Amino acid sequence: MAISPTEAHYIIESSLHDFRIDGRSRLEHRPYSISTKSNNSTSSSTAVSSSLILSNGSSRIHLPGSTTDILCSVKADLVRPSPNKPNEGVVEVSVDSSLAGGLDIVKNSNAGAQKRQLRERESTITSLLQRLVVPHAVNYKALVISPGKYVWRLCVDIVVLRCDGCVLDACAMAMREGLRSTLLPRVSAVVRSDDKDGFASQGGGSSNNDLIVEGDIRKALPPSGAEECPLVVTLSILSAPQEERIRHFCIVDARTEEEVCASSRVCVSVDPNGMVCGVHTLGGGGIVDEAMNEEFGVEGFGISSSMPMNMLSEVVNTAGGAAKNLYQLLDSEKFAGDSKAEDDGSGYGYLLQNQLIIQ
Amino acid sequence: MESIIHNFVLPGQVLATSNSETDGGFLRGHGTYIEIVQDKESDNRHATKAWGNDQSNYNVVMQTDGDDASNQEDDNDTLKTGPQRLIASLAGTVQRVNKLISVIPTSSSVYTGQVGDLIIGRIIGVGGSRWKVSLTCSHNGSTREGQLPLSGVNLPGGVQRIRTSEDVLAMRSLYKEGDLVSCEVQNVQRDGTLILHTRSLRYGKLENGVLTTVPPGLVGRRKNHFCTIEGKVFEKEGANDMQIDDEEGGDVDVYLGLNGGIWIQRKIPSEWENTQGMDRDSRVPLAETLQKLRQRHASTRVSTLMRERIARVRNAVECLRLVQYQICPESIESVVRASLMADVRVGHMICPEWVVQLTEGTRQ
Repeated sequence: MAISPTEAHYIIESSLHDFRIDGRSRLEHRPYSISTKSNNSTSSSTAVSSSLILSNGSSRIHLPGSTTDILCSVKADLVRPSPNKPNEGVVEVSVDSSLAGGLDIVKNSNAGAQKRQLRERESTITSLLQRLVVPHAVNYKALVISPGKYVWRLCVDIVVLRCDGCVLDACAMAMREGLRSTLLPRVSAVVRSDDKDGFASQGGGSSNNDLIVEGDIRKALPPSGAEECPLVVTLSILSAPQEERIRHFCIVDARTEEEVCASSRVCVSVDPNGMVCGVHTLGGGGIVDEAMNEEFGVEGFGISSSMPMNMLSEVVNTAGGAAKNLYQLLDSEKFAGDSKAEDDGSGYGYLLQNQLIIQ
Repeated sequence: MESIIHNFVLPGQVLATSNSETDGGFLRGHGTYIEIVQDKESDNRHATKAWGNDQSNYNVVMQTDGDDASNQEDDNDTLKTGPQRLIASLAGTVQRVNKLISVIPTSSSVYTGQVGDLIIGRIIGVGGSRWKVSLTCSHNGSTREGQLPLSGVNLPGGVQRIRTSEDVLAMRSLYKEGDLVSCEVQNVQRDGTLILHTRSLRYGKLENGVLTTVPPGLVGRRKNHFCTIEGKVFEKEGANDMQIDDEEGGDVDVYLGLNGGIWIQRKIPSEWENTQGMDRDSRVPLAETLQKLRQRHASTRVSTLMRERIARVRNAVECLRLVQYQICPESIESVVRASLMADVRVGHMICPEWVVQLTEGTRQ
């Protein structure tokens, strides 16, 4: 999306005044809402049916007006672990954003190029999630049922229906909430004393009787460590001239138009304890280092594509603070959502229920 | 009111039926489609051929694809003679002219232009002595384009002459890709393409403000689409407005584009016009004065208070969009007032709980 320089100027100046175009401050998130359809909440035992069909856990991240709408489904199955990691479970992520607009198949002549772009975008999100979130998502050791034989595989499928900026943040939220709402039935492997039998089942895989599945859904548990699943905070770094020098500052949870203005973006994944799990910078250009410029006497020449170390640490610190707020926001939101939207998990319908009467 | 309710149809509703004897009871108009009612026997035959285990009694004409010639003939026969039903494909009111039955949609999600409409569009292409203007300014969703020919703009300085090849080369100095423009529909071509123009001094490039988009159906046609929300609306009742001087707290301009683009900026203060008015004595044409005003507006920084007001108006529009309410200056003003009364932070206005509360007065 291209925006005009004057719009960008307005957005940057607004952010400089700590008053963004939609009235937020720099480090404020939008009011995300989550419907996890969690069936482990003690209040509603009827919610079991409202989880996405055929998935073990699901979540939906939603902004008012459906500017962002992301679905996440977690499907668990038992697989044989890979030989080099026999004592760890598997988490696989796939992101589908083909429905998220920007693709005009009917009229556009270069639909092929757009599709390619879309694939690229999807794979970027997927690989970033894999790097920033997946390694810390769950306790992999706890997903093992029988070492070397059976482990849980959690397939996390994320569908981006619509997204207005900060797609990675929203996907990470969806993934975290999806994993937290996942219920794994209690499965125990029957350890047979017969050594030969165990060997045979390992080789042939035709073992029918060595798993006991607890049928009672109430005894199913979320995967351990899902509470510690990190969230991603993307900071967009804007630069504006102020008092004859260029000032950099970052904003969180940028809208699409704000994202376009950013000279660089830094994705930081932070876990609930405030620990940084990973940092990634997006977008090559744009940080003009004042000191370097003065040294070389050239305004924004060449060196602008890298980021000074002290700035990065500053940015990451900011991200840590923002993440703390985000965790609070999500927890309170979820709490509120659970109590209010028990019967219909579909967004804010309940708020308008009594307000709109067709006359 | 009665008649509107009676004539209102929903998609899938049957408008008319005709049996084979009285052939041609109706003609299909816009917003409708024909379904052929088939008797059980032939239906079974068709169903097994076309869809396998489809149990429906009706066969939609458009979807019937016979695989051999005889089947095709059958279809044609039924098309001519079989009993038919006319079904609405849109939500709207039924219009009937003799045999022709059509449905006029109440509000279309796609903007269809009319001559004279104000449009807030984004330039997406320059070339062929015309600018391509995207009518859906939002970044997701399909793009619809209008065309702004070079002959449809005012040349800088307001001179009137035939456009030369130099003008064609200098097109980017007027509007570049990505620029937002306000323009008017000059003509709707037969295929629905819109020809735009910016020849009035009111239209032109939009700078130093905020764009927000709403579904086109929410912006109704009205006398004036350039609206102003006065500064006093933003002042809290009872609060002493001594602190706010005129420079700080001005009016906010809202341009309601019929294609769903809404542009919010500060109103150019009247003092500026007065200072520019000095030039008017020296017989500078009005066009140039306005241009200077625009330039000054674009280059002058917007104060923080003004930014707050603009953001408040923007979020008021957003609130109205969330509850699907008509967007007009009155409704915006009422939401703004409500937000000030409730003492909401601007950033919190789009939280769903607040949206309901703030639009309560408007919706009734």
